[in-house]
Amino acid sequence: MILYIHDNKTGGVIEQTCRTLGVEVLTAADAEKQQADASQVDTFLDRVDAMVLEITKPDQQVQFLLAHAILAQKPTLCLYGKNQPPRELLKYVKKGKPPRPIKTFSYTDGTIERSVANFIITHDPEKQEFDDIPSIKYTLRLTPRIERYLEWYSETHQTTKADRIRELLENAADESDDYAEGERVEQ
Amino acid sequence: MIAVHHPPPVFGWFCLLLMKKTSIKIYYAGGLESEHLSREQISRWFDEFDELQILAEVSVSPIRVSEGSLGWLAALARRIIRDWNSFDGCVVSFTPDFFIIGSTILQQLMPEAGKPVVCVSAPLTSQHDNAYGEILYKASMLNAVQVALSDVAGVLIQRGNTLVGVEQNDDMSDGKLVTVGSIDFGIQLQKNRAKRSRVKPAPSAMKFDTVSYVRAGSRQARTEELARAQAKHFIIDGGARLQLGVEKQVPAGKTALLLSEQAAYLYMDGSLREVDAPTRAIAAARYVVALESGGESALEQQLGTRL
Repeated sequence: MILYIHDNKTGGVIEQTCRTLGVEVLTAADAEKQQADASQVDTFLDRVDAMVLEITKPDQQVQFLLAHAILAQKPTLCLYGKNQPPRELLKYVKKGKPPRPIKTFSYTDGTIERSVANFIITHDPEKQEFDDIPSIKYTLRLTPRIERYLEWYSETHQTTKADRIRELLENAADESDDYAEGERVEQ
Repeated sequence: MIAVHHPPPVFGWFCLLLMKKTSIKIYYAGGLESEHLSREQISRWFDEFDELQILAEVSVSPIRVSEGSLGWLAALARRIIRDWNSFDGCVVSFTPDFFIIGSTILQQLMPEAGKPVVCVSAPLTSQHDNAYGEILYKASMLNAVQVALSDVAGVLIQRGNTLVGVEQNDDMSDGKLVTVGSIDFGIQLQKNRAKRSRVKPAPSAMKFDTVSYVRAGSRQARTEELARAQAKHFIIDGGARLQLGVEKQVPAGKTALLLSEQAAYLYMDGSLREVDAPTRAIAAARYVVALESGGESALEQQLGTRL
């Protein structure tokens, strides 16, 4: 996975997190040095799989990158400091119906690394495999009505009750605008 | 006495950026796949282009492109100069086939400009010469607007991911295309580029209303178009398929510049001469400028023709 990072605020935390996870990183400085052959790609976004943009105080370049990302539906994580949302820019990101490829996240020093890691896991096929293994044991009390539904569903669709619950939760997570505290990804 | 401090232009420019959303004007003279769009359809298309609004405050002026002569191009240059103080940079969108020629002629009309005038079109896809996608056109438009916001000046041609300008000689007539920058996760500009200044281009007296641009097409269609046109002079663009003997279709007493993909030829007084120019677009620009400034008698000298 190749990830483009635009970050003038966190002092390299985003880049470090990506490199720790073994992701190949491209920054503005790298792009300027490398000067890709223009004839090789239709647009520069074709050179990367996804982007992470720090947008707390959006400059002209980040607006440009975000406009291209929205146009090309390129998976992009937009990070901004908690309680410092760039409201005008977020209006454009949140236009249209979910699921949107552009995710936003208001971070603190304690949550930024986890949000970047979650984004990478979601978009990197190699890391997704690990993330999709149901390895966490969970105890759940259900009502008799839900139990009757699960019984019926598993018999009708030849699947397990646990698979059905996981499927429902994954769908809910995909469609949700507010994720769990600390890992919340607004779409 | 109060001392008034005038900030340097670059500093002033950045202050302007901080104070208000920058204003970009788009002159639309083609570029979308559908050629026949009403002014309302063009305006609506740009209104719904949300990504563009992220970059700047954009206003769009559809340009009436007349097929009878190139007069509309000279009128467009005058319009840009008239609007000069109302925008921070502007973009001119051409149809793909006329893009480079139109841009190069526009450069001749505005050799000195203190703001960016960025010429753009839909990139042709490699699969089919005549097909181009809306997404690629939108991406090109985003790039062009970003260039128009940058600290660069002059009439520039944005071709794919590359930005080119014209290197001007002293007589302003013999420019070669030079790379000014590239688009790669931002606008990467060459250090020696022309930067923004207060220079407003002087309106040109050129009208180009005696020259008609004729696209490659079937022999019959071209014959009809040449016969119908009221122009005294023609640019016949054969593209990759300039046919032998095409000059015989030019009505008697008129001149023509014949363009193939690789070369340009002047047809005048019944004979054909090869034109010495770095590109076919520059040959076209010299042809129209020479006709305006010196008439037919100036053509051979200005175009450096040889039999």
